[in-house]
Order: sequence, then structure tokens, then C-alpha cells
Amino acid sequence: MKHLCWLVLSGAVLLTGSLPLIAQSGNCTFGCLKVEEIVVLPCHGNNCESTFVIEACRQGCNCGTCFTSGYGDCRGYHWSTLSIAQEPGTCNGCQGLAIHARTHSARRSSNTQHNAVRQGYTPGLIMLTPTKSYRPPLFMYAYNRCRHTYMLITEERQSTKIGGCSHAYTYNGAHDPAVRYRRVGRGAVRA
Amino acid sequence: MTLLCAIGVWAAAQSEPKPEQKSATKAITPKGPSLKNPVAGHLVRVQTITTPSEVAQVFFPPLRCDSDGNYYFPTEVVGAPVIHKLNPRGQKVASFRPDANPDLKVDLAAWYALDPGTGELYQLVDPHVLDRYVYVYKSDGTLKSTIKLQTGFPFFPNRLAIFPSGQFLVAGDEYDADRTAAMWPFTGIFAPDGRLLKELELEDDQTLHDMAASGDARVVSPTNSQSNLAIDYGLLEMGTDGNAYLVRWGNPAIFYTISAGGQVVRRFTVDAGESGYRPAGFHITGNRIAILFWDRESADEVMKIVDLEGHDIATYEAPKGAYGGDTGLGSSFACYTENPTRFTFLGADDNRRVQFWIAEPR
Repeated sequence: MKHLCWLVLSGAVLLTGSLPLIAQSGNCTFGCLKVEEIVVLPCHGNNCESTFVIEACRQGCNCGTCFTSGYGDCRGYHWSTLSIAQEPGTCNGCQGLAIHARTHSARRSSNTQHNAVRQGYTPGLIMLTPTKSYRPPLFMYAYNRCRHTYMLITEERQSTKIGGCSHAYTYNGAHDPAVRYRRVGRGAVRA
Repeated sequence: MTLLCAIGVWAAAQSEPKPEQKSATKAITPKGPSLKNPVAGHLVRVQTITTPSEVAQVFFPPLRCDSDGNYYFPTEVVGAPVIHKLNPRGQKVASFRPDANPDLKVDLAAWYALDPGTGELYQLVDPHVLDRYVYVYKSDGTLKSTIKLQTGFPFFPNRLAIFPSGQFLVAGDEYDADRTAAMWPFTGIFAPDGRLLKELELEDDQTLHDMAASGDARVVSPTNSQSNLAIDYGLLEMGTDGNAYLVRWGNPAIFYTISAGGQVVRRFTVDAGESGYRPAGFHITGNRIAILFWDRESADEVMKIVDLEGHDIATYEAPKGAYGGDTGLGSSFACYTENPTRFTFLGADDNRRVQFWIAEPR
């Protein structure tokens, strides 16, 4: 199963990379993105049957950054859901289009919470400056539907499996004079 | 000889091929008596308690229990964070929610601590502003007060412990001079009113920072180059000796024993034996520490028991292979008691109702 997952995921990554661009950055300095569900995979075992979804962040009409918003465990395969943290800016070619951060190409039903795209407020991103935010790595125990256990999930592990999106969340470090620093050397100068 | 062996074990672990790994400027030095210990037994589930109605897809650390046998587990930490408190029979007795304060939208509530004297719960809260807070709840979940952490500079707390004196130990990150660079570890003692009394520089801070700055895959999150997993996945719990036990995430796990006055009473390392192991949780009871180590590749787990100075007491294996089959316990280690030695994990039944799985060594 694990190998199957990897094969399918690899295909998803290649597919993502080969798609034509439907939107280009206008004045968006982040990325013009959407989250797309690539494939639903079965997960069998122990008289248990369930599914999980491989998602990828792809070109879209949401100016923002892609981040991991949910986690799960399916027979040892740690899967993730993705969301887009909205940032200021517009994307060329998207005027007049309804903005959908997520498209459902494969999922039969979804109970995943996608709470990232909210006007000016993204829970889970903590404020770095009055205008910039940061997502700290989270550490959690996710339910394994077949084993009925809760297994540790860390970003160290899942980040390599989320279909070319791991590089998409980068902090844009434009200088913000509102924040003063601390020590010289270790940190910066205290305000 | 013991020290040589310890260094050898650690060096072997560090020297295994890691394609993405870059070398840090200084090595972490194992210190203290902890070494690989022969397996003393296996963990076996001996009792299951099913909660009447609790269902959870995910738990966030820390999972805790108190001296009355109540369990605490967060099921959400962003947006609308909530910590559930269940009695030993699995009945809900309280919920702790920072949105009880309607004045601040919450970005993240990453950690909490219990005051064993009062039963009050203290929660780290990052609202949607630059200030960081500790919310204090009564044992019934009622919000009692909010305390602003006053450092005078921006910082990012993610771990909290409450000393019997009412002071806080807070650990997290702070900026480098280059705000886009890897952050630095922050460790501070705060007064009960939120004033920063003392900032600590721990022995491995420089090394861990340099590992992150150099892109060492053991500590850098692939999704966030500023983070440091040794810090951000670290663990913190109050000991029965009145000191706080701060753990840096990794193998060996580095423990700092810190007093309310901000003195580092001791530093020791606990080695799970195999380089792939990382701490999944730890708890202290009496003069014993139980650390659950988890291997991210094999999903194997071992429970190491050490004393408060890091001396090995015992090592127990969890059921191995394919997540332990039907006897697996998972990694949601919630409670540790002695006399008899028992470890509680969180699991679920066929209807996904949360269960308390109580295991003993055999």
C-alpha cells in the first residue's frame, strides 16, 4: 500500500508540474494558487476500509501561500490536507471569476475542515509583525482508522509527501519597520 | 568507559547517512548517565475504558492526567482551540476554550500546563496580534484571568510550565537579527503577572540554532525554514521536585531541569538506542520519568524509564511491526503512574469513541 501511495503521488506531482498555467501573478507577491484533490486512494486492513486523498497546491486564483492544514494516518501512510493562507494581491486572468481555494476532482465526500481562507485572519498563522504571519510546525497524534490508534505526525515526515507544495510556504521577509529587534549577534537590538 | 560508550553511541547515530543533512558547527554533547538499556519487558494493554461520547480525529500535545485521574487532551489548537477534561470513567467534566474571551481572536493555543495545587489550567494563547498571553482557567473550565507576557520584544512561545510559586517557565523562539533567518531558542522565567524576570541561555541553544541555520534536516521543517524542530517539538512538564523539565526534541533527547529561579539544576540526555527514534511524549511521576520514543520509519516504539537525574531504570518495548497489529498502543501517551507501573494511551473503538488504554509492563 505504501508503495502504491508513493507511485500515485509521484504521478500526481508530475501531473501538477505539466499543467498549463491558468493564472499568473498580477500584483500578488506570494503565489496564485488553488488546492486540488488529485486522487482518492483506498486503505484496507483489519476488516477496515477507508480512503484518503492526495492533494496538491496548483496554479489558481488565490493569492497566498500553501500550508498543511490537516493530517491523518492510513495504515502507516501519513496523509495531509492543504489549504491556502490568503495574502494581499490579485492574480492576472482571474478577474470576474469566483475564487475557490479548493476544487474537488476526486473526493466523494469531504468532512475536512478548510478554515484557512478567511478575510484578513487565518487561524494557525501567528502574527510576526502587524502585517506578516508565521505558521509554527505542529506536532499531533492522528487517528488511524484501521488500527484505532493515534499516531504521532510530524512535519519532518509529511512534508515530503504533499505533492510539490512543501516549498510553497515561505515567509516573505520584506522589511517592516514596526518591529524592533533584540540583541546584536544572537538576536537583534532591543526596541 | 561509560562516557566513551555514550559518545560512541551518539556519534554512530549522528554519522548515519542523511542525504539532506548538513553539518552544524558544533556537536551536541551527551552528558549524564543515560545509555541504551536492555529491554526489561513489553507493554501490554490490561484495561480499556470507553468514553460515553467523545470522538476525535486528532489530539495535540500535551496529553495529561492529574492526581485525581482526570485526563486532559486538546482536540483543536487553531481557530477555536479546545481542551477536554474527562474523569477516569471517561465522562466530560470540563472544556477549556480561549474564545471565552471574546476580545481577542485566537491564532493558536499551542500548549497548556496544570497547577497541581489549585487544579487550574494555564494555556498559552497567541491572539491575532503580536502580544502573547497566558489564559488561566478554573478547574471547571471557567476563564479566570488573562496574563500578557511582557518581554519588550517579539517572541513566539510554544511551551509552558507553572512552578508552585506561581512563576512560569516559557520556552519558544525569538528572532535573529535577520528576521528571515532561523530563529533562536527562547527560554524565560515570568512572574505571575507576566513580567519577564529572567531569560536563560541553555547549553545547546547555540548548537541547535546553528543546526537550523545550516539547514540540518534533523531540526529544520521542510515547510518552514525559520523553525527549529528541536525547539518547536520540544516537551515541558513540571516535576514532583518543583523543577520544570524541558526537553529538546531529538535523539538523544536533551533534558534540562530548571528551577523557579531560573537555574539549570541539571542537564542530561536520554538515548532511545536507535537513531530514528524521537520523543513522542513524556510524563513524570514521583522520581521517575517515562519517555515514549517513536521511530518515524518503522513506527516502532519504546518506553524508557529514567530517574530525575537521567539514570536508566527500564526500557519497555511497545508491540512491534505494522503499528503493533491489533495490540498496538499508538503514540498518544497520556498518563504515567507508579505502584503499579501503568501507562495510559488514547485509542478508539469501532465507533471511534475515545478510549483510555491502560498498559503495564510484562
